[in-house]
Amino acid sequence: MIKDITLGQYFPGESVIHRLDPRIKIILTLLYITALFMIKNFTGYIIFAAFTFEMIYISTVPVKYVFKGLKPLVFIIIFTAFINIFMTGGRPLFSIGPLLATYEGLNMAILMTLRLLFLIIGTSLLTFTTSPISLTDGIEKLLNPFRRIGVPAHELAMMMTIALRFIPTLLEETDKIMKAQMARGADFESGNLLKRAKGLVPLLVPLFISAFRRADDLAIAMESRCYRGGDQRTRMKQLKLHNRDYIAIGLVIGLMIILFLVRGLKY
Amino acid sequence: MNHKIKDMTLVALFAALTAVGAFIKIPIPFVPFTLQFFFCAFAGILLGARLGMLSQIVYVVVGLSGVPVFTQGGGPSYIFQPSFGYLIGFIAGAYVIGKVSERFKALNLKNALISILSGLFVIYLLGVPYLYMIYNFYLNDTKSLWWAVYWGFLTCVGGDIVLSVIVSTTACRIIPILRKTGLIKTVS
Repeated sequence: MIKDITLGQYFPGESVIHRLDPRIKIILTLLYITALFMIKNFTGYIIFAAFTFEMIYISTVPVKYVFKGLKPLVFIIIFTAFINIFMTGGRPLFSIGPLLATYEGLNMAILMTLRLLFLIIGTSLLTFTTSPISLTDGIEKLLNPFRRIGVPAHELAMMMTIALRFIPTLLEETDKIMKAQMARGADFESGNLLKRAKGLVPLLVPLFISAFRRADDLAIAMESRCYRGGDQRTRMKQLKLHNRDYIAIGLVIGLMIILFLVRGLKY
Repeated sequence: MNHKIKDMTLVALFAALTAVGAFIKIPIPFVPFTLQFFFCAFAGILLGARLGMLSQIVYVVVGLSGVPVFTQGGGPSYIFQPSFGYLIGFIAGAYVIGKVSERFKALNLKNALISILSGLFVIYLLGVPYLYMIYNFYLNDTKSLWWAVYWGFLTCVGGDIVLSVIVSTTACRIIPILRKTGLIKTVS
């Protein structure tokens, strides 16, 4: 079973990007996506690529690691490129049987593929350089202003932290119950879909009961330590903006302005 | 005992369970068959509308923040995945399942099944148009609505109906045990 799932994609490090405030990183990632959707030509993509790879270089995350994240999406990227080449109308380029590729299609396919690639590469940089716990912290702080309209910011962050803590525990427990039931003769691996789904019942009943019991224990443990929500809670790690955060904001806004200016170019 | 804390831990545990459900998958193209819906339905039935929905929200936010708890990983770019509509659907679905099952006086097999199927309907109602829109407007592949309905609904609805039956039978067995041990409040 997967052991280090709580770490997610996090790649521990000490770079400037790792040390940026998580709130700023989340906002900058949103700006980065907006900037990506503004691009209409190749000049834009060259500037964008230079920026992205510079960021990866600064973050000290190995490029190999970044590209590994693309693996599950290779199918959809190739599929999209393929459809775009052959399904866009325009001047003919070459043809395979009844399929006709066009210049416009090729152009479209390349732009589309680049957009998909950078979307994943750029946004994964956020999760590569920020641990899930500090991301949760950042989300809590960013949602805080919305408390007035009833968004439970602190509770949401707390529940995320608890969920993160229990995912590996529950995975392990599922494994354990499965083995225990197999030792009693349960069969999880043969038969058709219906039979297999039915076989899950002896796995699920104990899993749910134990999850409920854990929730109960945890609630008692929290209460006996006087947990009472986010109000007036003090923190060991305070989030504070540093010069590096302001510089990062300036850089991304600068990138957006440049991209906006080159939008009019033909290539 | 303070019910607010108990509610929070329960919601968190169900979010974690949904993540476990995503690891148990049978691959079919475009929309993989997983047990996520299974746990979403359980969250709705066992926790009720509000908490069930909250557990699915927590699950989706955990996934979006980069922990690989979805079927194909995680991270903010998952919003542009064609199957992200189903994840939004789980949030709405858990709410609907909870709401409908709260309306019944006693939860028997038939009532449980009715509430789960109405939730399933809502999940597809959100998932299929999302699939269609992502392919047509984001990926620029012109796909017909029929194509989206075929791959996003017809190929997987069978499995989900089987799951619904299993959820209702299991739920009918779990609820009495939980009441007896006092782990859930008796629904009035």
